[in-house]
Amino acid sequence: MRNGNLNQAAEGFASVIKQNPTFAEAHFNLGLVREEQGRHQEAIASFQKALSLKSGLRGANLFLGVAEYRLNQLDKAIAAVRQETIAYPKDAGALMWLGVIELAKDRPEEAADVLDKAAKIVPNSVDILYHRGQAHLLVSKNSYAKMFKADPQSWRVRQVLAQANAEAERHMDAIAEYLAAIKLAPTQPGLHEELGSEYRNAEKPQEAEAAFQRELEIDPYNVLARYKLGVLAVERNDGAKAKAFIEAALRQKPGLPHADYNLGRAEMQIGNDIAAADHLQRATATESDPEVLQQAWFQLGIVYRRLHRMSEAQQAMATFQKLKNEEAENSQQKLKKFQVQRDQDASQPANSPPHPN
Amino acid sequence: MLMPDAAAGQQGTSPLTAAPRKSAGSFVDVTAAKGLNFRYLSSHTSRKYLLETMGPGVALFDYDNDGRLDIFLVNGASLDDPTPKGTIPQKTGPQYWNRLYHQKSDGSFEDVTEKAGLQGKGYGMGVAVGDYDNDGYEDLYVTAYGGNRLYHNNGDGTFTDVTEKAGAGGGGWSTSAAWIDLDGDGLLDLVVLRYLQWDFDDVWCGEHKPGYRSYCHPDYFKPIAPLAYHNDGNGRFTEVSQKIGMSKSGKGLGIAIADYDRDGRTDIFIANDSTLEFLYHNKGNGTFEEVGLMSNTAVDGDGRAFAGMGVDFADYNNDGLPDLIVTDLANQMYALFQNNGDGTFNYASYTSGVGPITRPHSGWGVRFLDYDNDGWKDLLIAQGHDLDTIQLTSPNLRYREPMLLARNTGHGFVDVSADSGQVFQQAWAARGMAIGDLDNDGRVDAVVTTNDGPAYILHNETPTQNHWLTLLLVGHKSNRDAIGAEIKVATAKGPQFAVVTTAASYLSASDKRVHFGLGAEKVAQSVEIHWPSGIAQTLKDVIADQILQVDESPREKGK
Repeated sequence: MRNGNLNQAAEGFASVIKQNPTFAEAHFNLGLVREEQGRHQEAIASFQKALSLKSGLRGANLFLGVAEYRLNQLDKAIAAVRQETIAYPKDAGALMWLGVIELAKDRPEEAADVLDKAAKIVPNSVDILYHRGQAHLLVSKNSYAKMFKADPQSWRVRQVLAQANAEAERHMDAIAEYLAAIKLAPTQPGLHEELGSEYRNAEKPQEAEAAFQRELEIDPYNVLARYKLGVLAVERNDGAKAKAFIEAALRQKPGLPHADYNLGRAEMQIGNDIAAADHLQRATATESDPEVLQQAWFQLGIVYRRLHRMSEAQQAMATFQKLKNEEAENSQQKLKKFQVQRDQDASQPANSPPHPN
Repeated sequence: MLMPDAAAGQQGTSPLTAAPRKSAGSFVDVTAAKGLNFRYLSSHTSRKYLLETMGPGVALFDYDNDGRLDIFLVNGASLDDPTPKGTIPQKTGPQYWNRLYHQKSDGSFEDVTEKAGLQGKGYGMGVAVGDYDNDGYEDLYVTAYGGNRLYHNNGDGTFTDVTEKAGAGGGGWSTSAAWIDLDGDGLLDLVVLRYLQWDFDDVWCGEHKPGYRSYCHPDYFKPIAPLAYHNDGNGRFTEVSQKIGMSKSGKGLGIAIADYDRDGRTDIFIANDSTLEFLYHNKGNGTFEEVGLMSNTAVDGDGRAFAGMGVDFADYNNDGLPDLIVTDLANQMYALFQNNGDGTFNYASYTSGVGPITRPHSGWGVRFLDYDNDGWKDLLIAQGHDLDTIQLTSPNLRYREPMLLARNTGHGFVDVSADSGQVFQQAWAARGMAIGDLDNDGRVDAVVTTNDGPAYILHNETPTQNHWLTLLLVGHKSNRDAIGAEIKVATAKGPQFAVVTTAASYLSASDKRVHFGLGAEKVAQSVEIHWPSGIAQTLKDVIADQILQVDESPREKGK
């Protein structure tokens, strides 16, 4: 069977069964061969026979369920696989199959529940994570569908559509939806901040600034709006304003992302090069975003040069260049790896649920 | 040494801002009317070889010294689908020939390719123009994939392919090239950029579904060093990139020259695609040092590398210091580097208005040019994305885009394309661009190439009463083209600066004559020329609205 000689394997197991008709494992193995041959009805009969002879036989309920799933007998399939998960609650494969069949039954909540359990047992299984993702996606889709049905005019509907567009980097569409949401709920906290972020992504800094300002009028405690006003000010070279906004935001919520980098740039813009160097040094030590880290080294090189600390400037620029080179090298390797993987995927048929071993 | 004029000061402080301003230009497509009938054949295949989307270049030059600019257009070659690795494509028929169009006295063009012997070989990319033997006739260097060609202008309307004799054929994938006197010996040398270490590999990039295969990002390929050919003066060239410190590997697409640090020696900027940009500082002893990072021109203001493609190196803010504009891909913003005068540049894309104007666009050929002669150099840019599938993956972007005309107000740039003629409504996959005053009417015109499409003549018909001055410099001790010479034109309203060059833009060579818009001024109080030889020469009270030939004076006034 392992060599793919399925007919020979089937004959072998049949011969064993003829000699010993109550040998449950032989019936189970014959079932596996039949399943592999696509003869699902015969597989079901073999698994059922095996279970009648040995009710707790490991795998028998699972494969019985899989065979029934192949024949679209979903209720029976769920019942069988559930038996397997009761008998072997740590069997991630069985849980995954139960999830897959629940998905086929169009019950994404139930699927998500068992697939979450499977992912806890085997956290890095690509197959389990894939099906779990699918289940949660459907749960979310169904939830939004119900929401749309419940109140198609709700600002929430517009917000969700805006978020979906933002996620897909369709910034102008996202802006249109946010504006529609704001029309329905003009003082709803958060909406103007999200709108401002999309204006920023769409390279409309003036509109972004106005949206963030409006957010602060509605919700003076919105730290993100305040911080983003600071970042916008950095981008338009208004260091004094940038510093005021960013420092105020940090008083509300310390540890905002890239704060040292942005404060460093603000200080540079107002000519406080020593303070800028301090912030940028901290950014180079603590920044986890590789792109911002590179930029921090770059700005640090500039500020050191302004401070006439030439050897440190050269060192900072050398570090910047090294990070850039590493990035280029990594990117080249990743691209090649990705390409190999994609070429392999392309040569395979469309995705189907993985067969449990 | 030409020093920055303290009186000119910062951008916007020059009295030239007082000149009357017209908001938009007027460029008219006169291609058909002038008899230009060229199509660049890039031989697109299903394999999406990167080579297919990158060309071509164009040259505007006066090959027969009749005072009228002629047009040379580079063409591709046939490609098999697939093309076996290692192939050097060849021109398999007249449809793939490069073309030379001679401008007749009535302003129309005639195809003189065969007579000139400029049909060419291989899959062409770019062109550089320079009189390398100082015989008074412009020679041509045509870059290509798999080997370049040097054509000597015989002065009788014909050219001779002297590549083998000159030893300047190169190899690999060459792109833009620049004629420049690297060592100050009065002979033009040649710098040839190369793009990538590349071959006809069948690499699938983009999504694996029909219609989504795309050109591979340059990150897929390794960088390669440029070639620097020293002109030995006997018709032969010696490759010296290593020797002169110009052998740093990059992904070179655009090249431009100017003396950025005012030390009297011409420097070189190389626009690299998606890696650090290079600024080669001329150390004066015949060698160069790459100072991109330390001059703040290697990356954008946030320290990000961008897809540098075309470049121009000119003083847009009339402070006596050459600045840089580098075109790149959509979402990156074209990079405007303003020269600080201390050997560093300030990334000025945000503050100048260039950033917001150009963020959604992808640019190639680019030149600073004063389209309305108001004394401020504006920007004309050839645009279009490199990926013909871009709209599938980024619905807000376009493969074909209209040209961009940005007016320099003296305080920044504003997009005036929409009001500057129909040509700015037409979507092209534009690539190369050369500028020059085709009809000698005092308004600078342009010729633009498109990928797998026609070349277009854009005639500048901007209505203006402004005055102008065009200078044709003839070197005697310096190289005859005067490439590298610096010119300061002063009027009652302020000074302007320019450098003589044929290189800049993308894959292209422009008119070597230097054009100045003088606004309302009918006289230039002085024209100071600093020749590459070190000779300084000053003309007084030069009348506007003329093309003036200036021969290098034998008198040396100091270096």
